[in-house]
Amino acid sequence: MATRDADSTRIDVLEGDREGDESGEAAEANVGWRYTLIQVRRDPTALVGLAIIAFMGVIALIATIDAVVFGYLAQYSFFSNLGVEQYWFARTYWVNPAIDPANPTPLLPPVGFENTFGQGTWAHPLGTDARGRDILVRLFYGTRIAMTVAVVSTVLALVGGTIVGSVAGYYGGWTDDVLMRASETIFAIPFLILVIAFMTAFGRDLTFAMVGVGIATIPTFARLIRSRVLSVREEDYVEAARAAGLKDRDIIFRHVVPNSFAPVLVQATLQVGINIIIVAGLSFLGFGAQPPTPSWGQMLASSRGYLLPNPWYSIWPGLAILVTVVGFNLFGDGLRDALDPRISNQ
Amino acid sequence: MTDDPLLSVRNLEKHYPITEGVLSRQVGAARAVDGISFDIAKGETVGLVGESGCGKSTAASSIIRLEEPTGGEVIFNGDRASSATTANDERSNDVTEFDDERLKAFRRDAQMIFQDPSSSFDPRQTIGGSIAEPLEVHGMNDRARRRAIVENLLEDVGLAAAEYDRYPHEFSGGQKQRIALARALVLNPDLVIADEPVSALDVSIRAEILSLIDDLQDRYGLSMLFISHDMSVIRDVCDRVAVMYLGEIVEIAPTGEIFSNPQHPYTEALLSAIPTPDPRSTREDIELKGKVPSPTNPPAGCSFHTRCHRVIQPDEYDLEQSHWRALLTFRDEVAEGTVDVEKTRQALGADAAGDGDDEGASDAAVKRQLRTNFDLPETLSDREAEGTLTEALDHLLGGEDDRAGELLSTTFTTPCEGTEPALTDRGTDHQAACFLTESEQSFREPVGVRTD
Repeated sequence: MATRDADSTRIDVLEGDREGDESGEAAEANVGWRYTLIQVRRDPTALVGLAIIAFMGVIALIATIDAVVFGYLAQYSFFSNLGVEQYWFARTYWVNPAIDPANPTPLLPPVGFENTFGQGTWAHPLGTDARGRDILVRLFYGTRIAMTVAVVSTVLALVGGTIVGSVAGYYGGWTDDVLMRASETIFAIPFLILVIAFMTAFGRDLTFAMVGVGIATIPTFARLIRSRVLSVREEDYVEAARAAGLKDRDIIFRHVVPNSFAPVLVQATLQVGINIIIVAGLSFLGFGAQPPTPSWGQMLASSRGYLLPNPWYSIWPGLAILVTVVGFNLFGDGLRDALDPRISNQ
Repeated sequence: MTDDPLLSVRNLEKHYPITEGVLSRQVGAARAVDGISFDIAKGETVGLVGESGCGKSTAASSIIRLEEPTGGEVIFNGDRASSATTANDERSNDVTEFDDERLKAFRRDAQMIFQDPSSSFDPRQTIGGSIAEPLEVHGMNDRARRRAIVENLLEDVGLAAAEYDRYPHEFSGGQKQRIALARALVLNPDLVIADEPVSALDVSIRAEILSLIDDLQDRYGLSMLFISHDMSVIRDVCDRVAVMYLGEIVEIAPTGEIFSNPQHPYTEALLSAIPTPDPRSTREDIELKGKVPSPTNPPAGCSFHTRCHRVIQPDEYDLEQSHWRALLTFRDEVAEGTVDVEKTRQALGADAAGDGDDEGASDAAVKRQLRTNFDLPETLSDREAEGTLTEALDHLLGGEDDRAGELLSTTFTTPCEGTEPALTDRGTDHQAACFLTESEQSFREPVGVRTD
């Protein structure tokens, strides 16, 4: 029954393509994609993952617009006259007039709880940190850092790994040896030490955190795609492309990579989750977003000293990390099932 | 120039190095293709036939330089390649020496059709895109024109122009092979190399594709190298046939000639493998026994002698041919140490189990069983040979495998394993590499092939 369903969907997809697409190339990309999305739609856990990712993505987007875009626009009188200012969103919807910035109340618990510092209020739904800053707002803006750094570093690794792995796998021989031995060398160095060394050399900046994590994860992707390329390059259509006179570069990026990409895509989704943890770890150690820019890892780090008086301070950022990572993992698993029917049918 | 063959292959070799250890020291080579030579005239179809693993496909991909040959020449006289030569007379027409630019020109002239239609198309590309790709590569940038050419061609191969935007998995194997033909023809080449184009197809579809190939060949004036393991397919399509065994061509002749008068025992065996539609046919099938030797270590002399049913007897013996064959097989296996006396004894013992005899079968029974295993008779007709065989069996049962092997190897030898037979003329355009001469073979009748 399950297989019959899958088949009929497949046919639907294809018929949709034939009616909808005039140009061959648009259809080319669609067959795989739409089929995959339909498969994912049937998978409730993947949908939960997707919902979490979407939720976090929207928050990150709003936070980015509020913190970065508005901050940039506010420099121009045209926009600032319209009322645009940095953290406009937070000020309008968040900052409670009842809060007196001159008299912060530190380490408040969430609403409905009580501790030695006072009673939780709706002014600070999740409580306040050691300096009396609202935890919810900091979480909100921390999402931006976590998502951006994790996604950008994954994309860097994905692109770099795909190039390295596909070239190594396609050419084989000494090219393969040189590239893969170099990857393994990176792999052999403990991950955090590598990134920290990188950031110490170039700067304790978020940009270098992204680049460092990206470079350090290139080997994961390179190995993955290489193993697929090794089998794809033996396919007759690759030979046929060579017989047609295609250049190696075109063969790799038109035929070999697209047909080797599925496991890499799954790994990329999972890697975003892993990178969120890594970035949080870096921030915890002080490498990453520098205060006062809020980030989850740094919140965790500063909450260390207040575990007993106000445990909530450390629970919230931990929970945010947990939920986001689980979201990416659920979606990655769903994607894997959709892309590789052999596993899902077991 | 016009009389020159389109393609001349001369002593083409493709050896794969076998390396060992961290330093990749080369310890040997698999001689996949070991010096083959043949010509293809303009408009001619040459068949290359042989069992799997004999190097047919390697030969094909080396000729078209999908793999770099390790030796020999491939002289190609296609129109475009030739015009490139006149521009600079210094350069020969040897494909193996082509630089990138000339190789690209050569790719326009020589195309390939692959065996497995299911893997010869990129699953993420529409078939129209796949067929048009060679056009794009060779500089036709006008999208609409590419499409028009491909749609035309799709109709030529018996599909609808509307199939342009469909994906490979929507087609059956036969349809995909038609599409593969379209892709091979889209550049209007002079030469098409078809690597087992119909062996993955059903018999009913096979005939359709073969006649389509025939049609298109006439219409486009193609030369073809047609690779197959199936003699009946070869008969339908080819003008001339080259038979390959273990990387070498053992016989080459016009198709009619090779079917009516095969000169090499291997050809004979291949021919006898064609099923006959006549159930009352009294033809005797030739069954080749023994393993195909490895191309890393081909047998000395004639590489076919380890399996040849006509392997030559030295003058001192006059055994029945099948007994001589059995004797040589026995000799080779003993020398390799693959004859396991104890296993034979246990197998016999297991058959006779129940009478409480733990000793297993008696020596005499084991010897008898060994003889049956190797199709050897109870006694050989030649007394001297019989004596040696009995002695060797005694050694074997006594556990002295080495002595048995040595005895057999020194006593029984065949001229076939001495030197390598060269291709010799056996008639017009007919060459074969076998020590059996015309006269010795004249007693033979054509093997089970209707020459209508």
